[in-house]
Amino acid sequence: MEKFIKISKLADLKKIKNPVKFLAGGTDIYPLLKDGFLENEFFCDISGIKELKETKIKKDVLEIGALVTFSDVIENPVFKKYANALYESALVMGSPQIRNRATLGGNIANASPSGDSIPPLFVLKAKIKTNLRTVDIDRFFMGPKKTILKKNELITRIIIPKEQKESYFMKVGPRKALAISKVSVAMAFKMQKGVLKDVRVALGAVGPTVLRAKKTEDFLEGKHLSDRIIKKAGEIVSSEAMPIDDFRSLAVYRRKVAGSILEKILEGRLKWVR
Amino acid sequence: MKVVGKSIPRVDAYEKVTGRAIFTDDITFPGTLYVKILRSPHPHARIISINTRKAEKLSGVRKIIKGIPFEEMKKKHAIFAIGGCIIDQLPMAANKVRFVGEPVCAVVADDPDTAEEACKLIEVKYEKLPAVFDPRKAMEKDAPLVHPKLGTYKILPGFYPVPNSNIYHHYKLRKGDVEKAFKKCDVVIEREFSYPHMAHCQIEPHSAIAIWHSPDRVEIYSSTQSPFIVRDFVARAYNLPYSNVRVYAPYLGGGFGGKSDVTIEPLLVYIAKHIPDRWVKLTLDREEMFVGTVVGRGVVGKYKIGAKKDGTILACEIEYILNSGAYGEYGINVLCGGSQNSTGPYRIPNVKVDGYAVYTNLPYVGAFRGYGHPEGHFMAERMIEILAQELKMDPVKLRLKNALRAGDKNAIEQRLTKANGNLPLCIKKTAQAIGWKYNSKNVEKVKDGFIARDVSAFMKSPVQATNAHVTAIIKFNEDGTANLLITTSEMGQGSSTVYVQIASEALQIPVEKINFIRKRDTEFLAYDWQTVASKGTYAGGQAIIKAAEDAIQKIKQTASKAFRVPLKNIKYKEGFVYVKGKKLPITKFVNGFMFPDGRTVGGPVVGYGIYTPENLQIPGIKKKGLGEGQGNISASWTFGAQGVELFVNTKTKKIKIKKIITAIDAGKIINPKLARGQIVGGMVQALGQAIMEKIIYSQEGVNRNPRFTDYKIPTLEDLKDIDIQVIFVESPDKKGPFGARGLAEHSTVSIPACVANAVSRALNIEINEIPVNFIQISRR
Repeated sequence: MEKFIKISKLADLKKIKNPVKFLAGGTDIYPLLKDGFLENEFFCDISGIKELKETKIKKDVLEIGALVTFSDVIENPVFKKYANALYESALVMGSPQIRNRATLGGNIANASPSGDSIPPLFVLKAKIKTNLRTVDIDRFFMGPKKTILKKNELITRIIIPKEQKESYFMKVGPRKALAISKVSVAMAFKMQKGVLKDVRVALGAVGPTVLRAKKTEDFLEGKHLSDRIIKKAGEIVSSEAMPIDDFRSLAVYRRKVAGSILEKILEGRLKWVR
Repeated sequence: MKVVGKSIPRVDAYEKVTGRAIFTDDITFPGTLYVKILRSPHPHARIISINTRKAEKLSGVRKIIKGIPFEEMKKKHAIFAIGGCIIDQLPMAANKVRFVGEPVCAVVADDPDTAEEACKLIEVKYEKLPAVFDPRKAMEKDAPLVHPKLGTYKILPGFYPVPNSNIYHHYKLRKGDVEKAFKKCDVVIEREFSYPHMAHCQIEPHSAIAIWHSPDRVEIYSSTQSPFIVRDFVARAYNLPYSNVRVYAPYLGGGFGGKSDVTIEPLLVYIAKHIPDRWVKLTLDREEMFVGTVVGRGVVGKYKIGAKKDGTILACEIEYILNSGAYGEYGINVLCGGSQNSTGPYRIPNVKVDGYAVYTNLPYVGAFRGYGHPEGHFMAERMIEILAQELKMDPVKLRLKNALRAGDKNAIEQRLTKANGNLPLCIKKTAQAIGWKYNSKNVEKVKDGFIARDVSAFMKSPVQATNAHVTAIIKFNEDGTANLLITTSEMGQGSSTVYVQIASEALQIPVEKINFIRKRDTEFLAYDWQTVASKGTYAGGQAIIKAAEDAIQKIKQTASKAFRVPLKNIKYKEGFVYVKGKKLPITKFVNGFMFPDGRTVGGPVVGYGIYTPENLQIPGIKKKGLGEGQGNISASWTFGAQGVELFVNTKTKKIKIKKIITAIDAGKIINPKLARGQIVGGMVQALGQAIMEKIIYSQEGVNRNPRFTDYKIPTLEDLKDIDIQVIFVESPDKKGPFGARGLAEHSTVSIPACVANAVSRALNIEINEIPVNFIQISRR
């Protein structure tokens, strides 16, 4: 039995008999492999499946292949247009070398609470399509590094509705490049006559999975942006975060900074309104 | 001067940018075997048993090697113990492990993967022992002893271990009477400080390849800054004649002190001894670079300083505790250098320093760029800042008032002269360049936070052996070109280029005619202590000038014989010999002078020059007329000042560096571009230490961030918006080559203090702990 197989068509998925780990860009797999965590695993290289590398612009949705890389997200103007938060997260994720290899599907499947593409996908109301089903991203993650994916279930596409929404992403890491987020915030909303509508806020690295900040969303819904409102929203988001102390950071810091980042995003937006 | 003072291109540039330069890991010999080390998972434990049966059966495994306990070695009359100043370590743990990462067993196999695989099959049984990680706790009476036999270890004179404790050296420095002086002070303040363990993060990991030729000859190729020290340690540990040990050091991809003294070499030789006549190779992986070799820094301290109302500092009392980890050889002199210089570059008439080098169950601390100075200066420069606040005085003015000047005596009673440089001028220039506003807070409120500035001063001297010789050889070839041979290591700092410039200037021939020999080999070249202590240019340069003078003298001697004129009537200038009104090229003399009939006088010209530090003393040995711990340990001093302007974001708690400046009086600058490069590199390294670096240990002494995922050092991305300035003040040195002094480590010394001062002032808090980061800021 071979430990490593490679498939080049989605249809070949059915032929795989043993449980496998899918290998796309390999940027998360490789360190684990080196540490000996995946010694008994079988691997299936999917990086050659062409149909998963495309991004299709449909009437109502953007259909993104799971093998689209972060560099693709930066370079293809369609992302900036319909999924700005995702585009902004790609800009600050990893390094150019990592962005060239790392895929969106991989970032989702790895299910790290600090995965940079995940908060944007939460606020963009993304759906995750696999070879078996389609699920809302809200229901996809079960815990740190845990998802609802069954054995040999493969993320094939990410579907984002093409709404006329604004969306933003910001993160704070230990340094500018190649840094795991300590806290990240994504938010999306519609601005109708100066009033926030359909607000969504998601927080990265401050809980077991990426979290929706629902109290903050409820608070901001229907509000006119003002300095007072922004400050209050920052406080609410800080209270909603559920960070932990670990060797990378302190809970108190993550909580505070989640508020600061949200404020910063909204302040930027407010300046623009004025 | 023709080439000294000019930024000629690096002589090693071409081979490095084309990837042809040879580093240790590039070297393999036919039949080379590969080594992987099994390391201890416990900080302190007795080794009960090591079962290698399964591992031995793995195909491709050639040998599995365990440590030999002291007692067994004694029976065989061979103790492979490592050390110079204190001999406290075996090449491989036996009986006991003392830190997480200590070598327990080695596998030698046909390839690295097999060796690694075999390591996983080895079963080691341990009995855990109580461990200690905090140096202050380690100094307590009932602390677990890391080395219960400390009192029996061999130790050089001048070092003072405290038996039945973890203090393996207590360095005392006494000048004047601090008790009396504090009573005269108007202000006395006292604070505590801490500086964590850090990693050198050289891009090239440690690598060595060695062979034990039976019966008793050893060859080692190693990524070392110190081929002669490696030879010394290996020869002594294995009782070999020095002539039978050859150490070869190829190019180094960064050293920063982490490749000085010895590192993996005695271990690899121990392994090679067990499988003679085969080359064995060991290259550490990145994680092992954090846990399996020396780490840096790790100081906690207490500092008391007192001054008169007008700012005159009268006394300081310093406790400087080095968290030295499990073994002492590497840290013992860091402690001396660090504590000796912890007064900062100030004139303080009464000084009391107690430096303690303390064993703990952590990886051992070794040299790291700055050699104890950044830690001491962090304390000293923070204290000056706090003192200035207490005195309501401008901190830069306070520094200027107390700065060491020509005529002053420093803490170890050396009198400084003009040739030691101009510190006040460096401070003033830095203040000007950073935009320092005298008598103001130098903090501005801006959107989302504050902008703040600081200026701090520094001094550094080579903390060196009293016999730290350097030998240079200039060998003329028949065509008038010269080969320059010196063992000083090229590790990126640019020594080879600077040496060619010095040789060219001294020989008065163009740089193109000088071939810098890249081979650093103890078998062929003469003694060179080691490439450390910022003395490469200063000491190596003096040796080269002497070698050049010797070569010129020999050329003249040949001319004198050939033309039968007294030596004094022969002139040498720019590659020509002037004799009896004739101008003759040196090619006529460098291989002996041949008359038209074939008769020849004189011989091949080889110039020989040595640098030897004059009248240096070991600080721990009491000298007549001097206080305890005083004495002439430093051949030269370099003074300077550094400045930082930064933005503290009060929302994200992040620090953004806007400007960093070093003004340094390093005497004559031989190659301005290379000098600038080295100073900028030092500032950036220090900036990493100041705001992002720290080895984090778990409660069981396990390194939690042994890789670049979680141990962050600055990248280009972090630097691109920073305004970096280097200012050279060039007061010539008396002895240094063409007036040059050392400058390699200096720019790392006061940046952390600058950052802590600026942030403290901006936020009205006191930061006395490194790194200055969001964790510290958000705790308040």
